Amino acid sequence: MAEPIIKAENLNTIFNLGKSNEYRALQEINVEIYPQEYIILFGPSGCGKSTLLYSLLGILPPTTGRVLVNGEDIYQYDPKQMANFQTKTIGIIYQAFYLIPSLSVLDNVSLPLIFAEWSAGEREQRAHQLLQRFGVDAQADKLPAALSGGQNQRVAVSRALVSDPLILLADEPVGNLDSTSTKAVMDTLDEINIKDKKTIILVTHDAKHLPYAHRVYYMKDGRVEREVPNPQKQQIKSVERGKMIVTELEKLTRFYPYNTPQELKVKSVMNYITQDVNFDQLERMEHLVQQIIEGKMLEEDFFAALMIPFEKGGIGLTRTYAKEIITKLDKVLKQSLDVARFRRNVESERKPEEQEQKKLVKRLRAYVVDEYPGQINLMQLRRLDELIEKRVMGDIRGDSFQKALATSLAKGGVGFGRRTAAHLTDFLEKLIVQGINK
Amino acid sequence: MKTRDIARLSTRMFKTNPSRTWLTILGMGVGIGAVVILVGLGFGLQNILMEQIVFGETLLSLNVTNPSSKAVVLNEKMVEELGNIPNVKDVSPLAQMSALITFEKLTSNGSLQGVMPSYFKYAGISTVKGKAFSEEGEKETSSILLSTAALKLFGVDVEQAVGKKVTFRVFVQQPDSTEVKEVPIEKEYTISGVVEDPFSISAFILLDEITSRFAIPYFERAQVRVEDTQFLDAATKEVVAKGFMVTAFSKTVEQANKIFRGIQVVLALFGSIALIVSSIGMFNTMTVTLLERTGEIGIMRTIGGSPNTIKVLFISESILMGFLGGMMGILIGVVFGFGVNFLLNSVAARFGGVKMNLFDFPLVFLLFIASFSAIVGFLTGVFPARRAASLSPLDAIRYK
Repeated sequence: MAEPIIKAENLNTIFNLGKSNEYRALQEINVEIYPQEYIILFGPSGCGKSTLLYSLLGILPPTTGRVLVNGEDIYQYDPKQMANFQTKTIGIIYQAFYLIPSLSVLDNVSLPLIFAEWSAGEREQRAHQLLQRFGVDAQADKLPAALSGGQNQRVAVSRALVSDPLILLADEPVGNLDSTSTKAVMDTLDEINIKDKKTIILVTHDAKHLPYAHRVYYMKDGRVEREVPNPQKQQIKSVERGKMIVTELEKLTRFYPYNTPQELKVKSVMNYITQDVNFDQLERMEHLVQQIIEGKMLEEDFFAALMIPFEKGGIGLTRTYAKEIITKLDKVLKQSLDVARFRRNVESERKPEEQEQKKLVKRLRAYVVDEYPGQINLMQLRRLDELIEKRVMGDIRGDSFQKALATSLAKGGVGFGRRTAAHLTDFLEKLIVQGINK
Repeated sequence: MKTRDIARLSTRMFKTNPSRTWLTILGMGVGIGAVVILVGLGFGLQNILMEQIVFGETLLSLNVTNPSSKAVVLNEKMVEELGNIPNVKDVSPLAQMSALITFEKLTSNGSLQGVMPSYFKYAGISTVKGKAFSEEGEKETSSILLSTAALKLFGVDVEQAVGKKVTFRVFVQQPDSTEVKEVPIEKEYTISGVVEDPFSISAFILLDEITSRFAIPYFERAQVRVEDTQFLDAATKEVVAKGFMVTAFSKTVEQANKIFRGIQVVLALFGSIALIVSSIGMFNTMTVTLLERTGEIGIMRTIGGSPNTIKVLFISESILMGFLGGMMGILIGVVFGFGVNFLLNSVAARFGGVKMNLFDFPLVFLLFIASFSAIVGFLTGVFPARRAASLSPLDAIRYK
């Protein structure tokens, strides 16, 4: 088994040591990272993930403990060795890119080589090569301010790689980027890991990125809470037999990154009790429903996909169950259109026609009452109409609506039973959720 | 880091913050300029004085005069004795007689002075027009040199004096009496040159012309020329021992130089106040630059820039700024000085004054100022640079 390229031993970093505002940023951190691994340090802001990253970069000496890179304690380096380490062994990219604004893109990328006393010709050739690879060579002579965020981050990646380090650190590299650029940069990092065989350590609080990593260190309050291997990736760090078993929890971690293992266990059993589909099926179904809602998928295809066996990329439901799902979905989506129309009239510039709005409210009331198996009288009908109009106008809140439904007729309510009131309110709320801003 | 890259990285401020950079340089320039102007004035004053003294032989000569008691006098024998003092190369005596000088139809009282041709260079007397007596070739027995004062009296322009004729009547003291007899010299002398002396009405002819006609009891004074400066003191002692009075130009020059060095130091001190003010300004700029660059420094430190690299960048930037400030200061000072010189000279030319340069800037001094300004730049930069280098990269990178 290969030796770890980075090893943090009993790392403790304490800011303002001994003062009243003493702050333990890192506590007893033990981390081993192997060559060519893609590691994510994950956690909410303030959890110490960036602190740990800076400790690995050699710019934040730990209060106690050691950081070994290739077996050498980096905090024993003299300034020259440290500069050399930060050129040849490790490179970093930041959320805010940290390019030097007064230097051209080309000079920014070549800066580490300037420090390393490369000749102008050689370093520019090297810099152009990288800029070309990451698609920003056309911007080489511009200043960083003239580039988009995504381009800047690619320039920063070029700079980090210009002296061909073994390790690339990334501190929330896509925190400032739009989704397209985010995808491009994340894919670039993945490519650097796979193609260039660099070790990558990414700091992020965005659970979307977790699938990229071989392993994720979950951090909280300055500690590594747990270390989770990504079951979808061939592990580099060999897992000792029986010592670590990949369970549903690892999967749930991806869906609910901020929950503790205890909470995940609860979620797991709750899923079993209340739902007929498991988390994997849910994940796929969510994806399909999203496409339906966005209008990118036809209902027939959705129906078919529900019945395709799970192994073949479908959901694997029975025909009956699938039918039930699609009926419900269809009903909610269609009926929510009336909420949308009502809201559109309210929000439009001109005053809405009363007649038209009344008609929409009547239709919405009909949908709601359809959900109620019993019979209702005229009085209830009028009260219901009033309440629905107020609710859809936004004059009352969901819980007031529910309360009014459950209040007796004598007291000015609709006079439904408690359970009926809850069910009908839930249904109307679903319609409103789908209907607004459509 | 390579020198070329250092130069490129440390001249970024001209792009990123040109106005502040140039203003700082201008501030330095004004400070340095003040020093240059004031010291330049010192040099100018010194030169004005020194130009009056003919260097070389003059500095190697002692001016020997009779003591007022006349206990000893400079007669032929004494002159010979002075010539025998060790390391004395030559003695050039001057005989003086009162005379009536007649120029064209005008006659005036004046002194007639008989000298050897070497006297002029030993005494440091220069001609403003024409030539002094030559030491070689035929003796110019019928040539005469007049002082500018004499020419003024006769109302002759210096330019037109040469070639005109002059005659004399000499007052000769009768032996053993106080009576004075007026004896004409039956000879016309031709003016061959004009001697710079705006105060005394005098005429110079060759010593032989006087001694061959009159008996001279003693010479008025003599110039004793020694072989080398190191013998000046010894020769002075010997001459004094014989009872004569001695003055030496070399001493005067030495004294004057000392005084002027003092004046220059005082002037430079005044200038330094301006320089200190502008240095503080530049220090301030460098400190602000440091704050502004803190983030950049942090970035550089994390991508392979060592603390030393950062220090070098900062210091070279401030040296460059200091040096450019020095250059601008030199420009300001020299342009100002030469401007004043030109103005004064054009005024002087119009009103008939003497032409002179109030400001002077020796090249060595300017070179000194140029390197001095770079040193000032270094000094104002070294402190911020050290702070920049010692910043923690993490604090620096997070600095906002």
